[in-house]
Amino acid sequence: MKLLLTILTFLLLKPLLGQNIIYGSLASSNGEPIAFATVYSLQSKDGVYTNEDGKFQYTLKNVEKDTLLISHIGFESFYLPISEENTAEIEVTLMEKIVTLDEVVVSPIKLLKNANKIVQQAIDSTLKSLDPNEHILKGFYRQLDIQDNKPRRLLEAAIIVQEPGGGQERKFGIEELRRSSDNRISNDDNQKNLERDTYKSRRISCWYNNNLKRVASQNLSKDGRNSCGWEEYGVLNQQFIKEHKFKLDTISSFNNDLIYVIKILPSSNSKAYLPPKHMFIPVGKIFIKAKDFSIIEIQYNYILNPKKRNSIDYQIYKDIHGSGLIFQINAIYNSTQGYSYLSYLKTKFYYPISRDERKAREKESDRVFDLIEREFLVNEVITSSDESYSSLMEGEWDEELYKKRPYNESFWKDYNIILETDEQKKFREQLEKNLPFNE
Amino acid sequence: MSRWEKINSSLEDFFAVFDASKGWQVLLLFCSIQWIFSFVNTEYVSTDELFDDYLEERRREKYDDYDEIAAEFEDDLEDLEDDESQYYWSDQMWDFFTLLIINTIWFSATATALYVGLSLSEKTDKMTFNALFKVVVVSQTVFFIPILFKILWFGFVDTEFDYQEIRNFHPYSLLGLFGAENVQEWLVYPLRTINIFEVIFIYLLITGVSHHSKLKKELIIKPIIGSYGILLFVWITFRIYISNLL
Repeated sequence: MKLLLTILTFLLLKPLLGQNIIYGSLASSNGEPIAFATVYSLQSKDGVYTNEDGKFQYTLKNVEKDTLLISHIGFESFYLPISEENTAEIEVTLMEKIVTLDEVVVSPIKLLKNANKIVQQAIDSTLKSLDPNEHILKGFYRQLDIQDNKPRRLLEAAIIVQEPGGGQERKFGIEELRRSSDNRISNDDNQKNLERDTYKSRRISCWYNNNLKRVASQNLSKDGRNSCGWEEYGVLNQQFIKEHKFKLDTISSFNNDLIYVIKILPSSNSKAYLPPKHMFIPVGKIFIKAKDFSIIEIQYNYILNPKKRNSIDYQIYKDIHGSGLIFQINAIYNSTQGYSYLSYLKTKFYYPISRDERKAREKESDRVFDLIEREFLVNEVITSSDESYSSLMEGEWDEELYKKRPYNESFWKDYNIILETDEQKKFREQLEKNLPFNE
Repeated sequence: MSRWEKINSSLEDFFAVFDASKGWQVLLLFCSIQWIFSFVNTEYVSTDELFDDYLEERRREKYDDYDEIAAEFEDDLEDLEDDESQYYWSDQMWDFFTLLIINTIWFSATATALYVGLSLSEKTDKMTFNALFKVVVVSQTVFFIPILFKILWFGFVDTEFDYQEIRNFHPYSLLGLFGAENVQEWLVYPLRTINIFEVIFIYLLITGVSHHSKLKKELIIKPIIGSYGILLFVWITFRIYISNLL
């Protein structure tokens, strides 16, 4: 009897015992970490991305062995066999793949040289390539708030977003909470804002809403402003062509597809974030598949103009701001079932602090911007033709961010997340150490 | 003649130089000299590079990859505007007009305060507003002395200095006595303002009014000190309030 119980227990526990988290780090041949590389499981048909340190974690799901396809634009793809026995961090070096002139010449696709034309084609193609029908995205969300150069809030959750298509109101909810720590400075003036922000997910949906429009111009309202009232920077619409200059940087490859790598540069028509004009400029890159002009990745940054570094204005802005970066967006798209969907989104935004807010903070605070870093890894796309779609839409969606929830271990053990960077880990530990006693 | 009488006589002669001039002419001359001092100070003493170094020291710990992004794109960036140097002299003209406007306002306010003070002591039948304005402008020249002293000191004597030293250099003031680092932020301006040159300025006002009105100095000391003192007090209070607000 005892033996039977032991065997039964072992069989029941085996799926848990067999769960293994694989840690890996990715670098180029010269040792540079490769950020936002794809780590895709051939068995489970899901995956993650490397973080900015080039590191990832992936959970084997009910299998003892798997093969991860590791790929990134400009590098040879790599097949990494993994198993439960991998306990140490796996270090992978990806070899650069340079597209030769021969490959360009013999390519069946007629490659364009004019960067403006390439970008125009890509913008035109997004209207066709993005799924216009209703669908749901589920994934891992992380948010880190930094006030006065100190970490103040951390949120990690599994979220669910409904893309309504046709410009309808998006639906948004929290599936599970993984981490939630809040040590933001509160006072009478901002308490209401904190409560509104804390207990409703409006801010996350606004953020998502705003950033997804970068490649979904059909969702823009007529005046180009989204429902959250934030200015539209870097949205891939016709205005984008007028406000930027483009340069074909190189032709690269990704999973045997030729990719245009286009640099985004400022033009004299670029929006002035703050005066004086051209003190802040947009720069970035778009990665466009040559065969169908679908956009694989966008990197868009708004920065202090390095050409102005000798000016007093530059020095003053850099000093009060603490950085030359104003905001940064990284968006990666994947194709499935004939359509493109958002696969990963990461943003860093510096928000100006209001004068009242600054007065309310500690006396030694002399920062004028707060930083909010957010990322969203899409783990699942549920189209309207899927069986589960209707039941998901009919169900109640929980919008409460800070509701007390028990940690759902069985949910998170199988869940793909973006591994926190060393910097994020440092901030998290600092935040958790400084939390008030009653947290 | 005692030394004191010689000094007074010299000051009377100094005011007499401007007797034939109009108020606006004296103002223009004052602003021109002030602009020259400011130009020399900015170009050769308290330069932009000095300020850059000061800001550089206060730079925070890096958290993002701005430097890498800037390095990657800098060579591709075109100059989006014309070369800034073509605006250099128009900026200088703008500086001059700014000085003119600010000085006109402040000197007019001072002259008004003195006029009110003298009215209340029934002395205005001897003084016109224009004459008072001229006296104020001419008396203000005493404040060129600390500027000149600063330029000469950091230009030739203490040539190894940083931005903080030049910023906190206020000779012959209460701030210099206590030290800027030893006082609270809000006290810096008031202590800086109370200095020996303000005392000399008030004496010059008295001398100037005496020269124009032909009244004895003993009769006009109180109204001038009273009216200017009140104006200065109001101004300092306003400055403290505004800087706290910001």
